Amino acid sequence: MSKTADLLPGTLDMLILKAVSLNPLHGYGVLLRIKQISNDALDIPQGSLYPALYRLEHQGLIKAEWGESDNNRRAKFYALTAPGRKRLKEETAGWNRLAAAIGAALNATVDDTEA
Amino acid sequence: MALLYRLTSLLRAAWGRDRFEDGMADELRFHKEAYIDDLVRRGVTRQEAERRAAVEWGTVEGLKEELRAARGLHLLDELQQDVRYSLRQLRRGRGFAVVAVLSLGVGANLAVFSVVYTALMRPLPHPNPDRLVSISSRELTSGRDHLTAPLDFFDFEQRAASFERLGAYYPPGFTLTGNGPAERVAGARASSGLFDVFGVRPVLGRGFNRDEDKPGAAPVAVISHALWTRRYQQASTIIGQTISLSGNAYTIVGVLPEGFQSPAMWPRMPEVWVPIGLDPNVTRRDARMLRVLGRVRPVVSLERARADLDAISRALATEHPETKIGTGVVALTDQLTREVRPSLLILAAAVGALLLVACGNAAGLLIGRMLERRHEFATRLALGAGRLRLMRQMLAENVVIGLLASLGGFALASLTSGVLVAAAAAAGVPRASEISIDTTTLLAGVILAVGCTTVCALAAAIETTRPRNEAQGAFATRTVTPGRRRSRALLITVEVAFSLAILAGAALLGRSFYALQSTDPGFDVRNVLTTRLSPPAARYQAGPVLQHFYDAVLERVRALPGVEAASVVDWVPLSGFGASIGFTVPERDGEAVARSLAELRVVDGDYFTTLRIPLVAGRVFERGDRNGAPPVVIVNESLARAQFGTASAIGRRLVLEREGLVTAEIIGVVGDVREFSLRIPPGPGIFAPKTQSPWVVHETRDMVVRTYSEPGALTPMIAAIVQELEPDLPLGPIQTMEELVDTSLDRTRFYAWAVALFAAIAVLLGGFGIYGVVASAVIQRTRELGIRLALGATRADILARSAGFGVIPALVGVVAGLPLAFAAGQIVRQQLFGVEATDTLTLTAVVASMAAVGLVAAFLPASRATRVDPASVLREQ
Repeated sequence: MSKTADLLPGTLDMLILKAVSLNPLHGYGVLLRIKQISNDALDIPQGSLYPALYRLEHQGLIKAEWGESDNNRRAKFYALTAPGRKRLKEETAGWNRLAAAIGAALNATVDDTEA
Repeated sequence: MALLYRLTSLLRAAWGRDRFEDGMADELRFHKEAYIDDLVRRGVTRQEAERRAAVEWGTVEGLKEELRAARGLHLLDELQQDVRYSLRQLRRGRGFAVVAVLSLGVGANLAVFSVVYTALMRPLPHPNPDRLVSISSRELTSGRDHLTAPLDFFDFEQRAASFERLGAYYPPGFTLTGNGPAERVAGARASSGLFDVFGVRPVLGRGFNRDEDKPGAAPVAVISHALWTRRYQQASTIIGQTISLSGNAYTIVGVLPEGFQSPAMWPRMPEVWVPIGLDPNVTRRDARMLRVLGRVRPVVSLERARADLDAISRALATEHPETKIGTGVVALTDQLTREVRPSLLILAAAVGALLLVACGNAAGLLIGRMLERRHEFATRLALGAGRLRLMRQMLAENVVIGLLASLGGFALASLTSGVLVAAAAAAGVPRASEISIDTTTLLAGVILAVGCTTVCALAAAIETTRPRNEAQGAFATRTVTPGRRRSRALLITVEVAFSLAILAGAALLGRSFYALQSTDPGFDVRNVLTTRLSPPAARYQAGPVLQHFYDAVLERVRALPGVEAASVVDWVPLSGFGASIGFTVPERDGEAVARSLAELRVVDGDYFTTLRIPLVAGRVFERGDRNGAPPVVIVNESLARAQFGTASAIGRRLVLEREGLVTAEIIGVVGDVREFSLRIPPGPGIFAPKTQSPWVVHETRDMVVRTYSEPGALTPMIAAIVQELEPDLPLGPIQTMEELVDTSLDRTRFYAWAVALFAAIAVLLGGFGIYGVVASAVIQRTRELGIRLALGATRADILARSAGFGVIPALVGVVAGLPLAFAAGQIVRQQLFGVEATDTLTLTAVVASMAAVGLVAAFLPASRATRVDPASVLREQ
């Protein structure tokens, strides 16, 4: 069993929003940040990151700006916008509700069977 | 809000397209390098790191494509690609054939549309044209409509409350002299309400007032803007000047606005208007002479206006029992289009059927095209092209085809417009001069062409994307696919069926034309010149002066070398004009005296020799038939037969209704002449001598001159004689009688040629369709045919088998087309002459020629199949 988990559909956008909510990041930085905050449990396929970034930018949830990277190279930095912040809050709340519900449901099923 | 943001995001990306592309490339390069750096830092060799990065990334171009899609840019890119690709595809293959076929169909439809629209649908050029009506009086016994008597008109005008205004006119011609050469102008004696009915006000001066509707009106005139410009250079001092009309002086009181035209004015738009009060018959209730127009009050229905006038005419019938009439009210538009509608519908039907044939043909071509490109489509699908993307591209191709076809059709219609307008005008299509190929037409063309292409493309798409084994369908191009051919066969059947129908209509109209052309008019049309003489009426009142003028002209014309005979008549045959007279035969004992009508022509004895109208019995007029001598007439055979049967008409008497009653003796019987047109069979006719009163009533006459040889050379000499005798006489065109006959055929010729042209195009398209199907069947089945040959099939078998792909649907089409051909016969029936709508010979010939076209079109490509070399075919696979 791999220690990395498969990404559920629809969660990539949420993770990107979370990643850039802390401070502006370039694309590669987003990748590293998600790896880091998920304790290496989530590995984003590099090919699907940029379409998601462009889509979010197109939707106005994140904005992009050119800047200097750590090693003084030109890089594009993404930051959360106000609608993005709102969306992140909604998605987080929604996710927590869903996770709690599914967790409860799965636990309850086990208890009932044993009892 | 979000939508707006996305739109600006797309636009920004599209606008700064280069910046977007550069940024994207930079960003991805940065990412890849950062990744490689990371790997290297973790101890991987740079070479290995680069390999890993490449594997993980896949193709950068694919990713870029995805990124552009995320921004919506792919829509623009793909559209551009689609259009570019469409044009490239069109250049190859049959794209342009499709465009050409559809252009033909669309062009023909636009041309006919422009005629039909102008003649039948375009609103009349007057304010609130829907409230304009035409009013006629109605004979109560026969129910036939006729012109209205002046006193009846004034009663209508006074009593009819449903009308805002009524107007009436009588259309005399005037000889205009002074301020330039004498010319003949169209005129109208108009009631004061007529300008109000048209909603037109003079730009200078005034119209007519009600006092001028009454007898004793002052001689005043209103002139058209064109006449004001032509003869008076738009002088503002025109009001109050005098104008000489047929030798009488009128004071000009008004000038009408520029461009005032009405198709309602018969027979031509007047240039000079004078008050109706000047007409000698204005106080009569028995002179049926006025054309009446009305403007219905707003919100009053046509029915109410009709009921209103009905009530008035009933009241008039009790007040004036001697002239009982009813009334007829029709919308002016309906009245003006009534006559031409059926003939124009022929054109519309023919051209509509032609469009169907063209669409069938185009659909066949498109199916063929798509079948040939199946391999391409399958390859592209296999390489990952989206199905939707492919369909959109096909759509783009068809829109491009449709737009090109609409442009082609528009160009075709524009190029032929001049010829069309001239032909339509000659054929008497109303408002022909207004026909134009304009932006409306272009719009109609785009709608028509894109619509047709879409239908054709859908048919083709449904046909070629029918589910079947993709791999096999795509790559095994030599596989026989009977199902697909069946639909093309169906298209052939439809094309042939409709072509047959148009061909049948064309054949019937063509036979009518030739029948009409070879109809004997009852006189010898060769070597005869004719021209209308209109000496100014004021100086040439009916009587000795006029008589003397014509005698002088004729004497000098007869003296010209090459002239065999010359005469004058009030209306030459086939001129489209005439006059009739009521008569009774008095002496039939015991029988009620029944009134009959006959055509009346006032002539001299030379008239019959000049036109070579045969004298059947008795004698022609002689010098002795003058005032004081017993009144005499000559009748035609129709009248003699109808009134006297087999008995001799010579010496019998007729009572003629002219200035009271005139009893005249029949001294001669002559052959029947078609007076109005070749189409109308001769009816009873009476000839009265111009030397006896009261026959000569108006000054204008048609002169007829018979020459020994080609008459054209004499025209300048005749013109010189007339001008010398009367400089104030406007000389009209001097025509040969053959030209006049030819002109009278214009109408029939127009419809016959137009439909024949459509039929030719349809049959050609049908033929090409058959050819195409057989040709592609032969190519697709080369292998099968080779095998058959190898197994012992004869060349004749192969030929029959291949041709069968075209012959069978064509023959089915001919059979299916028979009911359509009969329907076509019914549509053209009204226009036929000398041939029945169900004429067996014509239909047989039509079916035979259509079948012959089908056979030739099928056997030409089929003969290629027999040249297949079995050995080489078998070696190929």
